[in-house]
Parts: sequence; structure tokens; C-alpha cells
Amino acid sequence: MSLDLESQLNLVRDEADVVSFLTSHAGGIDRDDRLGDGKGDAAVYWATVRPRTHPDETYFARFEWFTYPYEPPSIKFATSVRGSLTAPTAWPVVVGYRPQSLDICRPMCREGFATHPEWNQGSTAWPSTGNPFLWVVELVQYHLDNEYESRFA
Amino acid sequence: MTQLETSSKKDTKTVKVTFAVSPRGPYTATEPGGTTIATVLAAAKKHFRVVDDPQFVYVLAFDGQDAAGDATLDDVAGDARHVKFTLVKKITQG
Repeated sequence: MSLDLESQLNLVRDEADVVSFLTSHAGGIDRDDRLGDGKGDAAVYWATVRPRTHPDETYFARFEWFTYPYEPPSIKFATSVRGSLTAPTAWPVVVGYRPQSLDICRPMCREGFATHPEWNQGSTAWPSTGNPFLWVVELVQYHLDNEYESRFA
Repeated sequence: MTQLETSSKKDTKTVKVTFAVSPRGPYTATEPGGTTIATVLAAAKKHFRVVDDPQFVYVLAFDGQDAAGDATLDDVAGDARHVKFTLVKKITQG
């Protein structure tokens, strides 16, 4: 999708800290339109993440932004960078992560807030200050490092 | 462990806590190595102006792992002089 210029600039400003964070956790992140032929989507980022206790298990998390930093991203797990988004086996087993629904039911992503509109109010509302891109990526890594059970089978 | 080694381990450490969505900068402090994680957490929450509520709690993560409240800076970081934590909003709904 087409991302407004303000959102693009805000993401460029904040992505450096995300790169640094994931690199220090044996992962990485690429913006879709910087891959291969450069014809991808500037609103989409592909993160490679690994659980601390299972470093041989690699997960590919797709973050799609709609307006940044004011709204949460869609977060999906894929079979590879630019891979299938409809494979439950691409998902980790973590409380609140729903491989069979292909979504995360937590107040940290578009899918979670759509399932629970009440999360848009109060202390669970999406934070738009600081670096929310880093925050949500840190949260995914934290879940993998502290709440990971296995890959969904 | 010699007395010198024991004294060295209990020296002060510089602590830094980051919280990505805070408009305030990181929490920094110099603390004795025997300071508990719970003490650091309380000070960091005060700095970032956040409080726990029925839907979530704030915890400190060190090197990606939850840091237990009753552990000390020495327990978590050993002889390291500089200790970095991330403040995590631990949400439990799902």
C-alpha cells in the first residue's frame, strides 16, 4: 500500500534503532522495497527473529504500517522473507499468538486492536510517542525470549 | 574469593534503563552492586511515569531475560560496571 510521506520519514528516523536492536539479538530487518528488484512496498518490513533458548529456530515477522507512529502495524509470521503468510507452522507458540487464526491477540498490533476495540482506550492504547517501531519489535523479541514454547506444528 | 575480589564485585555500577515509547530519555543512576532489581525497577517506573495496573505489569529485562526482583545488580551482571536494562510492559491478554 502507499504510505504517506510523513509516515515514511518517521519510519526512516526510527528504523536505525530497530536494526541495531535486532542485530544485537542475532536477527535483522529489511524494508520490502529495498529487497531484490526494489519494487516492493515501503510500508512493509521483514524482521528475522530467533528465541533466546532456541537460536536455531528462525522466524520471519512481517510488519506492515498504515500510518506511523499513530496506528499499530499488522504483524504476521511468514515462511520466509516475502514468503507465505498463511502457514500456521511459520508461527511461534507464545501466549496470545494465534497460529491458526494467523494473528496476535495482544494490544500491540492492528489485529489485536481489531479483535478487542476496547484496547484502544486507556493504558492498553497504542503508544505513539518515542519510538513505537522499536517498542513493538522489542516486545516480539521479549515474547520469544521469555514466553516461547515451540514452533506451531 | 579474596576480600579484594569481594570488594570489587560490590563496587557501584552505572545503570541505564531504556523504554522505547517514553518521550523522556533513559533512566540512569549509579548504584551499589547489592541493589536489588526491584529497587531499580521502582526508580525507573517513577522516571518514566508509568504504573502497573490490572491488565499488565512493568518488568526489567537484562540481555533479553526477565530480571527477578529479588536479584541484585551483582547477581545479574556480575563484575560488569555498566548494566543496561529494557523496561518491558508485560501485557497478559490474549
